[in-house]
Parts: sequence; C-alpha cells; structure tokens
Amino acid sequence: MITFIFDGTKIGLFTCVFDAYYERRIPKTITDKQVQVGFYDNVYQIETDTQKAKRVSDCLKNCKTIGVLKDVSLALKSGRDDKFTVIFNYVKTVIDNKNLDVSKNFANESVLAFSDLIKQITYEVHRFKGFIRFEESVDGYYYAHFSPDNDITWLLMPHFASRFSNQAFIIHDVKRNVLGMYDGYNSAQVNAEDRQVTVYLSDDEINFKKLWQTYYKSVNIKERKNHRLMKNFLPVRYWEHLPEKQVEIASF
Amino acid sequence: MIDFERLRILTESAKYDVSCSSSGSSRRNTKRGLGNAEMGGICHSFTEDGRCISLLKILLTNKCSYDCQYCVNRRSNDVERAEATPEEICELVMSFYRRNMIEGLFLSSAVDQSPDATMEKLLDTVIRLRKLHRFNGYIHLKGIPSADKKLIMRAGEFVDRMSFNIELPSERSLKLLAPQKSKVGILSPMGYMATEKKQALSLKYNKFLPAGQTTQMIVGASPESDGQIIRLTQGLYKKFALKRVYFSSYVPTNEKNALLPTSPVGILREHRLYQVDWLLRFYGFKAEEILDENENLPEGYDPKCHWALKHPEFFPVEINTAPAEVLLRVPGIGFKGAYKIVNARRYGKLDFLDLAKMRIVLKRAINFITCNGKFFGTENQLAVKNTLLLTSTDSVILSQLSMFSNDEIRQSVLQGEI
Repeated sequence: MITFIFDGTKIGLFTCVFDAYYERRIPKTITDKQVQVGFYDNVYQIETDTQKAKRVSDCLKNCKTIGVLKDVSLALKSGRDDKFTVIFNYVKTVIDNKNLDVSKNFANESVLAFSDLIKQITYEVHRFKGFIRFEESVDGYYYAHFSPDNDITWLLMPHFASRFSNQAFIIHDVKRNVLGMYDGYNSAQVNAEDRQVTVYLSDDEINFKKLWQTYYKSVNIKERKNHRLMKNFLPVRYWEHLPEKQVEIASF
Repeated sequence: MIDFERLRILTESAKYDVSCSSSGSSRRNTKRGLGNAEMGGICHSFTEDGRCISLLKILLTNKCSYDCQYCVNRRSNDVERAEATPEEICELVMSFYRRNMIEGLFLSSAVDQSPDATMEKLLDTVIRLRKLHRFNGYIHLKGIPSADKKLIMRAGEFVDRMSFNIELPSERSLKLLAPQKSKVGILSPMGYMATEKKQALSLKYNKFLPAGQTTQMIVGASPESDGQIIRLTQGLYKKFALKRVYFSSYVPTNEKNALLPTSPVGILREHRLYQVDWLLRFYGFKAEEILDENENLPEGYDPKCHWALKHPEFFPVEINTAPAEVLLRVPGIGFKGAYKIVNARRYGKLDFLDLAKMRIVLKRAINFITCNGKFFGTENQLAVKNTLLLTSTDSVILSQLSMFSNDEIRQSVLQGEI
C-alpha cells in the first residue's frame, strides 16, 4: 500500500499528482499528517514543487471536464480526513479521461465520492446561512460564533455582506479560530491562531435572546411533536451556538 | 418593543398556518437598505415538531369578529387576546433579521371589525417595513378574504408572496364551518392576482408578487374525500398558477364541537396528500391517474407505489434507455436518482451494482426495472406489495395464512402466488 505525505496545500497536492504519474506510483492514501505505518506500506514524503504543480494545473485546464481547479479549491475546505485521497482520485479520473467531461459520471466511484464531498461542503454553507446567529456588541458591530465541520467562513462572507451591506459584522469559526470580518465595505479573513477573541455584548442582547426563545417555543405545535425530524434538520452538534437551544442544553 | 406575553399569544395564534417557506424570490438589497431574498429560501431553525422556522410568523391581532369553527381564534373561543401595532411588528422584524434569526416576515391577522380595516393595517405594516425601514427581506402576507381589491393589489407590489386560505375543500363545508367566509371572497382575489401576475410577467415586470401565491386547506375537519381534495388541488395549480397548496391535518382547538371530529386526524393522511402534491408538481402525474375508483388514497403504500402496482403493463422499465419522465415513475427512483442515472448512462451501460453505488433504493425499484435486459425482481404481486408496504419497523412481514388473514392474502393464495 502506497501512502503519500505532503504539506496539505493545493500546490502540494498537485505535486503529488505529478509525482504519481511521473514515478508511476499510484498512492492508496494521501495525507498531511504523520501516519502509523504498516509492515507492507510504502510511505513517500512529497516535496512541494511549484513547477510540477503548474504542469498539473495546466493539464487540468486542457481537460474536457471544466471547473476542476475551482472544485478542488472548494473541496480542500472540507473537514474530512480522507479529503486529499478523494480529490486525488477525482483529479486522476479527469486526467485519465482527458477528452471526456467526467463530472457527471456518477457510476464512477471517484466521481461520486468527489461529488459527495463537494455536496457536504455546499450543504453546510447553505445550512449556516440560516444557523449563524449574530449578537450586537457594545461597539455596534454584530458578532457570531459557530463551529462548522468544514472550513466555510470565507464561503459565507459574500452572502452576509450583500444581505447586511451596511452592518459591520464578524463571523467567528471557534473550532479553527478563524474570523471573517466585514466593515460595511470590504471583507477580510483573519486567522487568530492561538489568540483569545473577546467580545463585549450590548446590554439589550439578553432581551432579544429571550424574545427569540419565546418565539421559538410558541411557534411549536405540541400535538405534532417529532423530535427525530427536528434533529435531522438541526443536528445536535450545532446546538451549542444557537440561542433557542440554550434553554435545553441547560436543562440536560 | 413588543413584550414577551404578547409575542407568545400572537405567535401561538399564528402557528397553525403551515406555510413558512421563503423561496421563490430573489429580491435584491438596495443601497442603504437591509436584507435580500434568496431564490431557494433559507431555514433558520427547526422547532420540536420538525417544522422549519424561516419567517417570523405572527398575527397583528387575534381579536376576531368571525366564528370559524375549526379556528383557535374564533370569537366564541376562550383564549387570551392581544394585538400589536404595525410599528412594533416592524421593530421586531428588523431586530430579529439583523441577528439572522429569520428570513423575513409572515404576517397575518384575525378579522378585527371589517376585512377592509384589517387589510389596511396589514398593508400599513408592509409599507412601513419597505419604505421606512428599507427592509428588503422576504415578506409573505396573508390576504383577508373579501377585502377591497385596491388594497390587495397594492399589497402585491410590496410583498414577495401572498396567500388566501381556501380553508376547506368544499363550499358546503365552508358554509357550515366558516359562515362568515364565502367561496367568492376567497377565490376572486386569487383570480385577479393571478391575472395581474401573468400580465406583469409578460411585460417582464417581476416586482408584482415575485414568489407568487399559495393557499392552504384543512384536512379531516370536514367529510371530503382525498379524491375531491386532489382534484381541487390540481385545479388550483392550473387555474391560478399557485406555487404551493398546503394541507394541515385538523387539530382540535379547545372545547367539544358537534360539527367537528374530537380527536386529531393522524398526520399520515396529510403526508399522503403531500406526496400526491409532489407527484402533481414534479413527477408529471395527473390527478386522474393517481386516483382510482376508490376515492381515498391507500394508507399502506405511498401514491406512487400504488400507481405502479396498478399498472403492471408499464413495467419493467429499462434503466439504460428509458426517458427521465418514465424513470421518475419507478418506485425507489426519485428526482436525484433519475438525474444521476440519466447523466451516468451517457458514459456507458449501467448495471445493478452501479445503481446501488448511486444509492438508488433497489429494495423498492428491483421489481420494476431491467438493466441491460436483465430482470432480478419477482413477478409475484404479493411479494412486490410486501416490499412496498409501510411497516412500523421497516421490515417485511410475511404472514402465515390464517382464518383472520385479510382478503388480499387469501386471494393470492387461491391464485397460487404464495
């Protein structure tokens, strides 16, 4: 079993693709972490090389399948451990079928796996367009914290920037400590790394939170209780950041 | 700002309105405005009953001068009453919207004094939101039946979607249970709004009701059959080009009433009707096909399976050649499945393994399809029925013939199918 280890960047991944073809060595898994090695495993450390990566991306531009570069960038936002392998397999399928648009060949395992990976990300983006909750800070900007499965902060920014075009806001991915900021004109993404982010909320916030909780409770029809359905749509792992679910977490 | 108590009362009175979708409009934000609408709609939360919260669903007032028997807010019902001013509603919408709790407003009202006075107040709220607060989010407005045409048409210029509730599936039931409402009062505004919308679209003017009209009716409060409801639904889609018809299964609201059932009608009937609704809108079915001599939908199968079982001459369907609209009629193949199949077969012949990979529900589909001419299903009608039957544990129950077996099983034994 062949394993490639690389630095986790897009350029690094394309270098892996190049090396796989050049050395005729097709990896079973690709990862950016140190892995436990089995007795029969061959592990290769791939050195990121811009030249090699450029040849791969040029090649992809000449393939019949369109938008691969864009899709790969999107897929790299995934929080799944096997994402590099899934992307590699898809890129390989695209190159192997240079004269064919393979993007909709759902009977092909690597195409289907890649399309599922993309769907997980875009679905989560769609979900968080709804599940993000802002709170007003004392300084007048709006702050939201959330912890998504995939790294989607930057993908959410255009949506909120056009919706709240004259409202300064910050979206904070607590899991990765990444902040998406918008000041009323421009967006920017900041990686806070290990720094602590502190926000002072305005005094009125607690009142709005209670109003929202009241609404959430009142609009429910008790006779039609369907807890399973609710959890399907609103997974428990997202509850931590939703004010309407705070009452329940407290009562656990 | 509105207080907790009134918010609770006005929400609890509004919650029986089913529609909460925020789709169909792509209203853009204005320069110094707040909000926009997204074509596909966005759900912001989900309540314990599994329904989505997308809009702030609220009444202006629940003080009603009507006495509709099925309604919580009827005049004779002993419930807490409250009202809110248009400005209070606007403030609430703006502050919820800024916190991304809602996608917009779903505004309705009990008929206080006269239909015109109520409609005027609703219109006032909507115009305030759009003009004063520069709000560009989604607004769904309930129309008040028998209100003045001018008021209703003006509202259509400001909101994304409007709906008049049919309430009950027949004029007779409406007269019996909602004596103050009339068929004409409900249907005529739907009619002239549909005409206006059609004209607007032909002029490429998309600001009049961008998300169209919907309606809602209560199921199980009156004796109409599924057949009547389905034909009515199809008629409404054709005549008024509605976006949706909603069904709400009747929930008893306070006190016993001789005219109404005392226990809630199960959700299964409502579920089956929605399945039919989907078949009508997306799967190319017609009401006449779905219904048979037996006016009511079977509870055990979903309507698509029911149709498939009744039409053995249509099956099996060849996966590699059948057109998409034929694939859609196969139990176990839905919209996404058909999309995947149609695309994937361009690259080569598909077999059963490919279908399984694409997550087609083969358990249901196997008896209705062939792949490259191969058929792996069974011709045994009873076995086919059993795989499609709704069971609580989702497992197939094959019963031994006993004195108490139902007719279907007895018949099939006589014909040697078991």
